[in-house]
Amino acid sequence: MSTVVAPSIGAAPFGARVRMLGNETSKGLRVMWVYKTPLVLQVASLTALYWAFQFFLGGGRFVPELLAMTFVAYLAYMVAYIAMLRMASGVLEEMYTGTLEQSLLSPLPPWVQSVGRLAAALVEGLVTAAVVAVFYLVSFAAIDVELSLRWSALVPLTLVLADIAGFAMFIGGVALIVNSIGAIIHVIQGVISLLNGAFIPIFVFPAWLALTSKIVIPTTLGLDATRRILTGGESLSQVWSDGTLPWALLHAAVLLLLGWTVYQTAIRRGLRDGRLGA
Amino acid sequence: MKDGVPAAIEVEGVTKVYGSGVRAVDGVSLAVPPGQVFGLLGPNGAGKTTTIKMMAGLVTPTEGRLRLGGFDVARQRAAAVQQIGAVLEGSRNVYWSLTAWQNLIYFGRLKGLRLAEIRPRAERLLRDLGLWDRRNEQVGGFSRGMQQKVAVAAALVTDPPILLLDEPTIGLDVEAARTVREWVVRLAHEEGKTIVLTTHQLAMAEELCDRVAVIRDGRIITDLPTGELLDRYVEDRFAIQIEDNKADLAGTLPVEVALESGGGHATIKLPTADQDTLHDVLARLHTGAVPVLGVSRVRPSLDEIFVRLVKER
Repeated sequence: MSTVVAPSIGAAPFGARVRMLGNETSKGLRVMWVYKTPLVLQVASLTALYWAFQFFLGGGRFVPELLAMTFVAYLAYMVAYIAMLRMASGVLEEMYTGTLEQSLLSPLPPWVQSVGRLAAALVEGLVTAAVVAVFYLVSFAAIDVELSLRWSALVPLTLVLADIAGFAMFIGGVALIVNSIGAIIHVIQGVISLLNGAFIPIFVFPAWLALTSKIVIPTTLGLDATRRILTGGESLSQVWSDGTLPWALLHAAVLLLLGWTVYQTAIRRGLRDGRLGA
Repeated sequence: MKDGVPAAIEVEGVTKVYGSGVRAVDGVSLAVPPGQVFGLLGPNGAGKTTTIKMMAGLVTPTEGRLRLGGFDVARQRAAAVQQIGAVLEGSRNVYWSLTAWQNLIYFGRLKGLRLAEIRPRAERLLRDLGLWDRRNEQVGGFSRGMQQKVAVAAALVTDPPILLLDEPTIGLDVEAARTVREWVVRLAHEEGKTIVLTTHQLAMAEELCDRVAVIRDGRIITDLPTGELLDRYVEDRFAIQIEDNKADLAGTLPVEVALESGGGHATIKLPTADQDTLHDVLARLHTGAVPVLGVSRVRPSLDEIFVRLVKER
């Protein structure tokens, strides 16, 4: 019998891991492409809901300032929506069909696979958000919405993305333990959309609700900093010095750590209990 | 290790107790030498799938150690999983939303192979399995047999020395099941792969396996080379094969013998191995001009032995 040693992993761990991470991501994107039609319908209905909200909040008209304040939060919500959906339903589908177990027959540790899955979900979310953003920007031009696009906003937006990544991984991990998580996810998505500023700016919330939203709801803190840079004309140093950005950084770090820990624990627990297969 | 050759699969005192307290596997030890087709048989819930999944590192044992190709599954997981390909029971094993080709590329890369290494092997596998012309179609659109062929190809795309096949022919039609059986024979006898096979189709196990273990309530109750197991249960009585012509036998045979007929021939089963009885019956057949096709010791099928083993202990 020949024995296969794991040469590519031992000799070039980084290169091999990057290659296999890319393999996982590309597989994830190919599988997601199959579900493009339902995704388009979901995005279309969410977008219609957004415009309806803005219309009623504006008292029967579109208020440019309101659109400018909620627009980025809405895009962030869309990325979060897709990432959560893919991490939870994707992982459950793979569990029920047995491909999750097959994909664990890899020399790589399970975390690489989970990062690849997450990367695919984020790419899908970002591409979808980019398409929607183009549509919005064209619409905004027609109703005179003024946006000052500033590079410095990329810093809090990166933290928003990190928040989403951590939370999506957390949800994916919970889905591995609580298989009937579908209904819970819909509730969570609804709460995020209402409280992260996607439909209603958080500064109109009561103080206690705004604070709760910033602490509990993913993306809210980073989006608050982003909104102030894009529509309030504040600088990075201003959002840093009043503590918004440092708290957003801490929030993202905690969520990433939480998501990572829960997902890896769920995989270990699944292996212990033999619950990762069909 | 036997004769200086390390076992392809070593299982030492492995126990699995699930959280619910169910002891699915209880102190199983076995060693499978390279190139052997090892059949793991047992009734539903006996512990077959848990044992196979522990071999694959997909279920963590509560106690004991498993080694694949000399690599400890728990401590050297990366090298250990490189040794195996697996087709697991009750699951799709491959992505139905991807094409056959995309699946093989994905599973090849999953084990760390480069595209240049995977492509020729994937092509050969798909050609051999008759799927080459449909390689760019989604697996979800394939028949059950074709999907299982893709699963087998995905398990083999990295050319692993060990193959774990958990009920590989379940749900397949006769033709597809035959293809899988032929592949098992080819992989073991021509390519020297070590194969662990679980199946409820005992005729298949009898045909394919060099060695058979029967597991019940998580414990191995028998572990023998297939021929030895069958020989051990050879019964101490004779069977005489004759042409199927019952009319000629009326009043010819003693009442204590059993007669089974079908397929153009009949079998007379004697209740003992007593030579006098055998000669007596043969003399009666001679007198009645009944053509005798053969005389043999009664050899039960693996199916019969399995039922007896599971009921006996």
